[in-house]
Amino acid sequence: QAVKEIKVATVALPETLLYQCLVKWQSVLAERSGGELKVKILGRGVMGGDREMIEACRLGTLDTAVVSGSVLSPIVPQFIMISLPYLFNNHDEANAFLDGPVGQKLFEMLEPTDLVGLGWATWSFRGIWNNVRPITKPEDLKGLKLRCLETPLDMSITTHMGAIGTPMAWSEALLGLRQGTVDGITTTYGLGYPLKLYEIAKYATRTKHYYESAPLIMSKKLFDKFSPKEQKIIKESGAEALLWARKEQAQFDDKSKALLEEKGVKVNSLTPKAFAAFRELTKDVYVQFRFKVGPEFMDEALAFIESLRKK
Amino acid sequence: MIKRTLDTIELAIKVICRVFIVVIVAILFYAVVMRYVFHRPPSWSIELGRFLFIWMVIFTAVLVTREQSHMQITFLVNLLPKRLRFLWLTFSRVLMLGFCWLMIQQGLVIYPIVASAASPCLGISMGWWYLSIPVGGLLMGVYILETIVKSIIDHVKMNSSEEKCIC
Amino acid sequence: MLMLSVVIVFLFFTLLGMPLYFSFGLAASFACLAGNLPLEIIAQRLLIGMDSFVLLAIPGFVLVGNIMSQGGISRRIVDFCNSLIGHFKGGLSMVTVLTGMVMGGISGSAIADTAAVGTVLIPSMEENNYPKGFSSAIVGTAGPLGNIIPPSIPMIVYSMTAGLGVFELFLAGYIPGVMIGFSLMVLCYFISKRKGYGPPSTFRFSWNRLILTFKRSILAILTPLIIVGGIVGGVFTATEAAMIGVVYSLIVAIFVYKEITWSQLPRILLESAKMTGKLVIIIAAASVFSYISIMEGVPELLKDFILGISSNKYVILLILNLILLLTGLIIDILVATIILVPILIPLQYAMGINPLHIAMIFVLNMSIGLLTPPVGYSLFVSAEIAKIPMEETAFNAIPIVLTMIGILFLINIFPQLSLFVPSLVR
Ligand code: NA
Ligand code: NA
Repeated sequence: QAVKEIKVATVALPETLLYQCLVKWQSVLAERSGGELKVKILGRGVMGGDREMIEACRLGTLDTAVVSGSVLSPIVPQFIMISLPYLFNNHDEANAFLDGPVGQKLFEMLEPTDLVGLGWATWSFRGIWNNVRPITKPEDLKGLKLRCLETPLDMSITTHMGAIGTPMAWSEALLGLRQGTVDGITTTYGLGYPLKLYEIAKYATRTKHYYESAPLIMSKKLFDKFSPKEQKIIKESGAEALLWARKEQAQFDDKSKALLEEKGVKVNSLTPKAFAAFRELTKDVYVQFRFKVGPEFMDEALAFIESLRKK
Repeated sequence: MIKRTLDTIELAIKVICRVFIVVIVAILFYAVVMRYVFHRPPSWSIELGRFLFIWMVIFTAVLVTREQSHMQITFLVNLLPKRLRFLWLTFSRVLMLGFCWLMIQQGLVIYPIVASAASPCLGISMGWWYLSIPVGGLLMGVYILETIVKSIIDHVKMNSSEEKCIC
Repeated sequence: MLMLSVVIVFLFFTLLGMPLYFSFGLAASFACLAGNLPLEIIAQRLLIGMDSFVLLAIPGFVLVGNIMSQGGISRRIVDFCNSLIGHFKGGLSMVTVLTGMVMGGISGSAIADTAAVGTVLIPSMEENNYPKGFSSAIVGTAGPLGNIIPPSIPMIVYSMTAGLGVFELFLAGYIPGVMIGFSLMVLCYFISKRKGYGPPSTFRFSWNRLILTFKRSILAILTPLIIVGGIVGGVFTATEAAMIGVVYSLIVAIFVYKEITWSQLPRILLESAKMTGKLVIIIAAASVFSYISIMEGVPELLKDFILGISSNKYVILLILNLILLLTGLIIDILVATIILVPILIPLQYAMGINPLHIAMIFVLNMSIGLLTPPVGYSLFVSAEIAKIPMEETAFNAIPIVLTMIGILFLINIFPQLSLFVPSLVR
């Protein structure tokens, strides 16, 4: 039987864990399928940005992609849930959430849009990189122009936290930070080190203001072409490789403080009090997006996290 | 009658293009002023700029198609003898029509799928963005067809006048 | 193999006069049909190829170029350059190069630059005893200079394709641009001296005239400072800088120089929109083509092929330059950028060469292509203005092209020439 090749695209650079987990998937899948299923990685965004890759997978012009979970929200609004501010306290909660019934449900919601969710990787929690001062409390953000994504969610969170949300194309953001067009950028921890943000920003704060999941999605058109046995192998190997990446990411987050400080960045985490203060400030965001996400779904998701914390 | 309609469409497109290029410049200029002077950057400027830009490019491509001033390399084809050149140009224009047809057909195939998503910031259905492809294909196709018809008429006229001269 | 036949289809139709947009589109359709790929790629990638914030800078920089040439700004620059170096032997030809450099620092479009410099200087060089072939070839250098000295549309497209910062790329162009400009001026001096071009020297240098023309053109000459200074100072992004440039040059042309009236504006707007559309629609079609070649694994094939020949950095650079120069003979810089840059990226990482260095090598090679037949847009425009056959201009451009290749060699050997200025703003 001929070897079947699955092309998987990502905007991630080879240095990132997100890319590494695709390499892992490559080897796990090759092993499980006895070499009959092969993964070819197209990294560095050569196949376009997240939105374009999602479209391409839906149209069947691309096989597979790892994308930011929040970028799926224009087609499945419930994906906003994962990225609501201060939803998770830590990686363990996020992992339990994604691997639990809610994560499963989100993948089920993808199916009618011609996408199949294979598993969850992560870009980790968002933090703030800036050149003005360390962020230790909400007041520190006052008057700071922070580059944010051109989405209502990111704009809203940044503004509620107290900063001036400044939308800017990613292509211009790093230069903007260096030249002072913006005072800071918010980005996930997974990116800070490989993007060499330490060269252009003085302060890094682990605000952990929201979690950016990175689901691996496959074109349903393609997925349906595989035999049930192959489908099972693809899903299992994908989930396994991505879970590995999420665990690695949690460890890397802890390690990165030392790595960054070595490069001269002042890194700080929030005190529990500041964390709670930011959580309080961004409560309104839940109200704002409640109807978009669906009240029932939101309550169910919140209840699930509540039950995790009780354990 | 047909020519009048085609002229009117062209005129309308020209007005749209002028307006769009002004609006694009104005929006981005406004964004700088709001961010730098007033510290209140608008959230919609980038997305609206991109949206207008796409339509402007498609519309100008239509204008350029009618004028036959697309970027192209003409010197080799100009070396061909007249009759052969006419045949070749007609053939290649028919192929161009074929590509316009693909733009229309494939544009409509993907339309329902992409239209189910909205742009993240302004909430404009992605259908409005992708509609530019079939619309562009249709308008370019119409003007290419016009060029083909015109060139055939010219060719026939020229041949008949040449025959008269010989007589 | 599939891609090879696709390239042949493309070249066949392109060389036989089909508009590039359609020859790309047809070649891509052919690739989809022959390679059993979904045709939806065409509709989707056409749109995505145009949908980029970075590309929004193009209408801005094209507008700046058109406002300059029609608003009397470029003529004032010519006057200033003339009073600066016009008194040398072959002065007017050196003025042409210098004007190209200054214009290049303001406008982003090579074709607009060539046209602007040509319409003013070809007639006046003719009056002053320069043969048309020579003067049109010199005017043609405005194109490459405009591409290399920022702002530059090819650099914008490059940065979008390679994921580099536009601004860094801009800064990288200053030293190579100035090097080319000055060596071309020296070349003009020697050619004019040897062949006796130009009038017997009656034109003398005068401080008064220099100060007068400087005053008259200062608002124009300051434009690069505003554009580049605004980005360095963190006031605006590169795309926004284009719009600031438009507003600024409009104010100068309408209110200060009073050479553009409100009634002329609609025409300038439409011309600029069309120029933008012509460029971007090809970028869109080329991006379909590029998407397919990446899916088909062409970048890895090329990387393995070149690394298979040698692992020596300089040998690889030599091969790379040869490939680019040959490509530049027939393919325009923007198209080449969309198609070749994604293919070069794996090679660049495998060799560990600085991306900015490769970018300058690329832009320089392809800019030389503007002056080489059979397809060179600066050559076309310049010969058309001078009303002479393109071959005559091309023949006279040979020493110019050789000079540029000499500079290209230096840029290859010494990465610092490209990297020094960008490193200053870190
Ligand atoms: Na320039
Ligand atoms: Na050429």
